[in-house]
Amino acid sequence: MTGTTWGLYITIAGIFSAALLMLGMEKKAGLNARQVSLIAMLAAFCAAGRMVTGVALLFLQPTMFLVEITGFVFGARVGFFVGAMTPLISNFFIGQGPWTPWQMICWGLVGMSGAAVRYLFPRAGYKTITVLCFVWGYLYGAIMDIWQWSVFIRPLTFQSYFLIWAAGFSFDSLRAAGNLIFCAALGGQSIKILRYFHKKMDVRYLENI
Amino acid sequence: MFGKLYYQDKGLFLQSFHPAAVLVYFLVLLVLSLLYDNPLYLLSLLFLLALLINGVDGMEAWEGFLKVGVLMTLVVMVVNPLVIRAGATIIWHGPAVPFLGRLDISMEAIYFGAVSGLRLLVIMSIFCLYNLMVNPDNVLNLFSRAAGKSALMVALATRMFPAMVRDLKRIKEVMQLRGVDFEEGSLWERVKKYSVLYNVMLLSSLEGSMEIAESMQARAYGSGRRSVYSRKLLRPRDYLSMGGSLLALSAAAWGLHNGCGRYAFYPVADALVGGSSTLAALFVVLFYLSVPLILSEGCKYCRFIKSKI
Repeated sequence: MTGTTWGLYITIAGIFSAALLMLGMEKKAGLNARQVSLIAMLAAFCAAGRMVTGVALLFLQPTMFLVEITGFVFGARVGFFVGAMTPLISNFFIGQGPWTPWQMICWGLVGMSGAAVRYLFPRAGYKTITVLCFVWGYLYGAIMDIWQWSVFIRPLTFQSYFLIWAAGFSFDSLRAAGNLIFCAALGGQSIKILRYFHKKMDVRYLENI
Repeated sequence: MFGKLYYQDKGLFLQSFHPAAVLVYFLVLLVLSLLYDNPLYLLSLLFLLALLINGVDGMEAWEGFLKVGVLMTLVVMVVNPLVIRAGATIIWHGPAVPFLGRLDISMEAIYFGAVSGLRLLVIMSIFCLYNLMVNPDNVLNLFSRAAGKSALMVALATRMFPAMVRDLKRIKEVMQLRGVDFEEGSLWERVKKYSVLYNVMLLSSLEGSMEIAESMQARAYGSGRRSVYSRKLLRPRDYLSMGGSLLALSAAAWGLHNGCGRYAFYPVADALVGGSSTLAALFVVLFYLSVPLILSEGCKYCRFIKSKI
């Protein structure tokens, strides 16, 4: 059956693109010690938020907006790294699976979209981010459904995809609502705090003094 | 609660493999579980995985995985018959629905849903076994050659994770001692209290990250080429299991080329065992895949094997 092979292709493609993106970003970014430890700390923070509340409150997680804001303040590469590492690390504790690479790509895209907002609308505040977070709640579900659909459902038609998406609609709505609430409540302060550290991190060495 | 789900070093033989050998083994298992359609093949993979999970003493963790897997199986079993019209044995003629057309539930579609669920269980078991069998630090060490900084960041973040949960408790206690009652007040007041907690957490952890960066710099991080403290050696057991998994993969590819392991569900489901070649191919693949299990059991009962691997 040709249909079954699609599940394999999609999963393998996920693994390779996540790995290549991480590798390529690392080579391009040329991270220094401060960036490395900041990314690790933010990723741990997000993963803790995803895991601790992910179990207690299901999908109401104070996490996705922080990844978005990280991208918004620190730029696309840091946003991507923090985003991609969040599911990777929290899944060490709540279960790795073939879904991990796809989740990494999705979360990485969330971080990069934050950077895109700053690029497109330099004067945007946390209200724009809040709206985007709400949209990402649904978009994330829709992208993850592609993986689930391609591996477990036959035939691969638009109708069967729609049914899988509809089956997860309530979860997606919960996620989107959680993003909206948390970003509205905590977004403004988070941007302030991260901007403060962005300034603090920016060290320039003077040559030949 | 989470302690059983992730890696604990129990000194078992199955945990002593080189990470590269284990990764190859798991990749082959994953590819096979996605390629095979025949329920018999999937069931035997599940059986092998159950034996391996028993070998790493992880039955309790597996139970949790199975519960989630069964739930997702039910979703697939419900969605599948609603969209598929290819089955011949129709057990219920439903009404016409605008978007989906006529709802005819066929036996084959339910059967296919069940087999997809079985595949899901196999995949979840593979990852359950991965969590129990592989030390994540060793895997990161393996990747540090190609992507040193990413591996370092993942290792740092994984290490900070428990510290962060500890910090959260500490800060919450400090606030409680100063008279903040998190259980009291309306929803909005409680949200405000928690948002203060969140801010303190974020600030203190970012301050901590700056300190870590300074200590990294003080230890000359990034001043030259990366040096390596230790590497794991490849032992005969690793070559044996790696060879076994590659042989299993090629045997499976040959079998699939000749139709062993394939299975047609529609319009009428195939017979479970197509002929003696189906069983023979299954046996060969399973034998190669069970090399780590055989070595582990052999180690227990035979000193000669133990001394050689």
